[in-house]
Amino acid sequence: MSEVVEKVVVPDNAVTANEESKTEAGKCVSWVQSSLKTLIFIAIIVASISSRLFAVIRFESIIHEFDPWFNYRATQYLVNNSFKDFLNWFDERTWYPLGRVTGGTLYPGLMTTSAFIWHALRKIGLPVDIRNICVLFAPAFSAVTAYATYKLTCELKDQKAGLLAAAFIGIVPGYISRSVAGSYDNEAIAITLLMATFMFWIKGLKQGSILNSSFAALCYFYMVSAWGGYVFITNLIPFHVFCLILMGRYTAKIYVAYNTWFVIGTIASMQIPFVGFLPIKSNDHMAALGVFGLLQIVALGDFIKAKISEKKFKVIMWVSVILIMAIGVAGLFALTYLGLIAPWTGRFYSLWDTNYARIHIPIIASVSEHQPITWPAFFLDTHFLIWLFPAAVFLMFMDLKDEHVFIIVYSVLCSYFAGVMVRLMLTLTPVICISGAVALSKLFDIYLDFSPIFSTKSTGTKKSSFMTVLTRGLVSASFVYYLYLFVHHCTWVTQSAYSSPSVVLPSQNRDGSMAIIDDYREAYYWLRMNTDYDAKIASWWDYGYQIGGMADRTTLVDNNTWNNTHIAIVGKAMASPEDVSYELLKEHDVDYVLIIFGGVLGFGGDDINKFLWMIRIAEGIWPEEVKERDFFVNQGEFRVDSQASETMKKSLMYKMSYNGFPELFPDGQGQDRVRQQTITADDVENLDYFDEVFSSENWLVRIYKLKDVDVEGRDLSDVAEFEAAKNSKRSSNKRPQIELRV
Amino acid sequence: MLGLRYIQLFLVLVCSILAAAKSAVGSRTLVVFDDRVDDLSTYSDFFNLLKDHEFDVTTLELSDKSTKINLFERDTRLYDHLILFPVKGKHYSKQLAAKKLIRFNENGGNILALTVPQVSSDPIHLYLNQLGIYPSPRTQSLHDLFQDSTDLLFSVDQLENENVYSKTNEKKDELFNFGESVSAALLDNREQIVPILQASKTSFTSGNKSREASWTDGSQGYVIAGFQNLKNTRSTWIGSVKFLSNNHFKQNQDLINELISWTLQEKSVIKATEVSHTHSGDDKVSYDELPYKVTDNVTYTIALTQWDGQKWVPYVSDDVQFELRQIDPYYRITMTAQGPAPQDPASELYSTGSFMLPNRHGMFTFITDYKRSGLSYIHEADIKAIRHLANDEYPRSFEIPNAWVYLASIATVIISFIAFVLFFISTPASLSEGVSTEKKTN
Repeated sequence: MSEVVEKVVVPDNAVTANEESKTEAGKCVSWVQSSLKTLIFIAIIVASISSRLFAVIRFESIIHEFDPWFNYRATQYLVNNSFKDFLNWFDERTWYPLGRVTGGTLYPGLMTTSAFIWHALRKIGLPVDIRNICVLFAPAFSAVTAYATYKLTCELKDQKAGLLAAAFIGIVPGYISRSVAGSYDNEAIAITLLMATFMFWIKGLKQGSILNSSFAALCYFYMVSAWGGYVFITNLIPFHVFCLILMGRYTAKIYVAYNTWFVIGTIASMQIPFVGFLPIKSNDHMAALGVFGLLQIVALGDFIKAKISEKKFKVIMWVSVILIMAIGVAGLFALTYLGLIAPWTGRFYSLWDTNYARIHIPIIASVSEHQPITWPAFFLDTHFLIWLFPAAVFLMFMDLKDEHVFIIVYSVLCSYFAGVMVRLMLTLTPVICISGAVALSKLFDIYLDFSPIFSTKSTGTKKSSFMTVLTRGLVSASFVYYLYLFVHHCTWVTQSAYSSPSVVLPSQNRDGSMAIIDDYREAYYWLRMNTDYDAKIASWWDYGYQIGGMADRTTLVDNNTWNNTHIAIVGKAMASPEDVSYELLKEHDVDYVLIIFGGVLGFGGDDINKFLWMIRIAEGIWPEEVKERDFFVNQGEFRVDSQASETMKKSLMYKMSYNGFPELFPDGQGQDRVRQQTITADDVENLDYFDEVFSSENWLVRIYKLKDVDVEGRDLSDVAEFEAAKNSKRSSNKRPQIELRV
Repeated sequence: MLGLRYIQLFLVLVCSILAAAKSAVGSRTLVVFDDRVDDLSTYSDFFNLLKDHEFDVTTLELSDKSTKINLFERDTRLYDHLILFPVKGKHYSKQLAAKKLIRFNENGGNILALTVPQVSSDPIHLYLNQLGIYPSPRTQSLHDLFQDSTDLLFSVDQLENENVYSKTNEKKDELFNFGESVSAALLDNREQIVPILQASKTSFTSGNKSREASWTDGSQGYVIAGFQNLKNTRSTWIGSVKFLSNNHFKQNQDLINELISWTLQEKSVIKATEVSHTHSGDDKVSYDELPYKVTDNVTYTIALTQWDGQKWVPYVSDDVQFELRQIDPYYRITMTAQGPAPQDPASELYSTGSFMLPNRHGMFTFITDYKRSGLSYIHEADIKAIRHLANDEYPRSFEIPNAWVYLASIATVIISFIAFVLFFISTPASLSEGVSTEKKTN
């Protein structure tokens, strides 16, 4: 890894000699330059790909986490069926019984790209398994990202900064976190396209080129097809243009670039079924539309200004500005009020008010990705670039060309958003890399220039020249050391924090050797082999994609959280007493219930810890039946031991989690290793309506089957009571309390 | 279970070939009785009747403690029917525990149980309690002070279920004699209970102790009640033994006959033989060939057949309903009988006719849930996905008159743009120069 940095540093000498490359020697130098550049790129590509392979080497070639399992399943579907089938895919195996119009509600860019690669490889006689393509997709595209970043940075400064930026983006943990091998997610391709779109946009803007702007629009279209985060571009580019207009920098170039990008990009993006008419309906897209209109007015004003005297123009301007503002604002309000344009989405609100989601939309807040970021995360994800970043933004202000305004706008917006939502760290990382590279290369331009030693005509005394060399050497050396630290840090973070597939958990044996906890796959495989193909599995939505992908069974809810009510149904089933849950689940034809229980293993991300979210989401729909307060003890604590509240102990989730748990321990005192509480056999009531059918090796996954409806029509709790009674029981002489016969 | 099914099937086949045994499920019958309570010879007419029905009767006397009752050999059921006379003692409680009776019943064995107020047959009581039938305890028996005779008489009017006993005009003034001591039962409101004979309005139960509250009052009580579990196995309880005795046999014969027929599944046994749903139209394209999409027209058919005691005949009724559900029903259609099914003339074909699927995609259940008191239950459900319209299944824009105005505006813009460009290019340059000179003077 450290090699890469050295190579990045080397060209600086070579490129400084650029100016005199017209002679014979210059030709030779330029040849050396380009071959060095190629070599550096190969090194960057190797570094960026190889550092993402930790996951494969340390674990195995497997799809990671949750969403990638859906993408993988969709890709499989695309490969096995035609593109038209994929586009019109109705998936009846999720969201039972609603089903999901999957083809119309996904971003197909990722799947079509991998399917394209798969077909292309087959054409040239390399029949690669689609799983391997999916696993290695993200590393491969990280190499492309490095190149796109290089081109973008070249537009900002020069090739030196470009190469540095490419090296940074190649190994920076903030980007690796979403693009290790096996992390087959939309972001894997989206960041590449983000960089490409910005690169073409800057090019188009600088030159006023229709061609480059069209490329930007096409990249934007690809981005729209790949990731919902495209809205970021949709807002950033108009914002950039808006800033430029406010700065009085309107030129015909801006007009050409923006209009080309907007018209082609918008029409193209509307071809994606999931996006559809959003670009003209959703408020998220209104900025782009507004700036488009504004640009026309500004262009008209520019034209009029050139035709008439200044005095008249001022009057016209003021009148028209006020008129337009009034009409625009009134129109926006009217359209929103009439419901013609959608109100802002919940995710959008939560960008401004971090508490909004927690109060109003628990489903969004329950996702850990949507939590605000912590300070150390910035350093963990970008290391020393984080303090180069403000310096770079300052340096941008010194230049302040149009493209620098873009980077400033980008960094200001993204810094804020990344602070609000963890997942937006991903979009901040590229700009940090670019700015860091620009700052560093500016620094190296000065301090890595040792030419005074070799210059024949010494201008100063020998001493001052020595001091210059010394200071330059010191500064350069310290920054080279920082670079070395950076590489070291990146490697360490990547391998320790971001390479776990989360489907397989790493752990250590007593002797310190690595052991793998494979409970998830064990359980999903059990489901696949032991249950009916049409069996319906109820589980919390986190595991929906995995059950669909690994166990191939129908699920009630999954990670595509499009229907809050349906998720609340599962939440209610988990939070209610057995008999209520049983009715509810039977109504939805559920056969099995799957829960994650970490108490034996000490795995913190289990369902009991997520239980509060289930309760909150259910309470949002049925405030009368599920009450969050009832699950706390009087002191306001969330307990699971003998002091737990009655509602808690009666809830299905509690009973399922701790069923048989105290008996695991020799003294009957079950120690929950997550919550550090003691559960005794008296705390856990019997399950009458469910049968335990499977618990994985470490009890991480527990699967329960719903008992059949009693053929005599009794309540299953009565059946259990009857079965438990002795044979010699005498019939009662007491008159039974029965309801009036109707 | 599967083995049982085959045995049943085999028996049914044998029955239909020989036209001998009459029950739809089998003829092996076990009668359990206790000499200490009653002498079996006083019921010879009843046993002759069973023989006429060609049941293969085994009797087992339980006063001897060494007698063992095996209803199952390993997991195979040994009898198809069980008739329980009142039996005394703890031995019996162990041999025929309520759990065993439930198991026997759940595995397809029909039970006819008799109790009398004098003997507390705990297992039978416990078993019946599980079904929601609560016979009066040992201390209480049924009285009707408005009746002159010491024997309790019940009229045909008090019979409640047509599928068990169909009242015709000739039988209108029949009276059934239940003897002196009769138990009455409370029923809970479970729908599987088939109330058969109701106690008269003027009757009540009372015990020896006057302070004791009565178990049933008036028409609240029942003296005969049936039960059919979800697997279509039947149980019947009769609150008197004397009802079957030779003394009253002539008088009660009709009802006894019908009760045996119903309980031991000779009548009111129906089943679905053929369930299908296809696209509407003459070629009947099935779901497997062409999955349903929203607003498709489909037709659902079901064929029902009935056991008439000898063979399967078409079951004709006008209240068979079909439902299309996605948690809640989207359709509930009463199907019309179409005559014998083409593939199977022994069953009647019901059809919904062509109906349009709702404009909503998802998993829908095509279900016939035909549950009538006294008849076998029919529950046929099939879950199928109904997909949304594909991208090319919507009408094209030019087929929609409303869209013509937009199409026209698009065409106008394109044409006028081309016209403008042509005009702009062909205009002499001097004209534009003229404009710029004008500006200078402005």
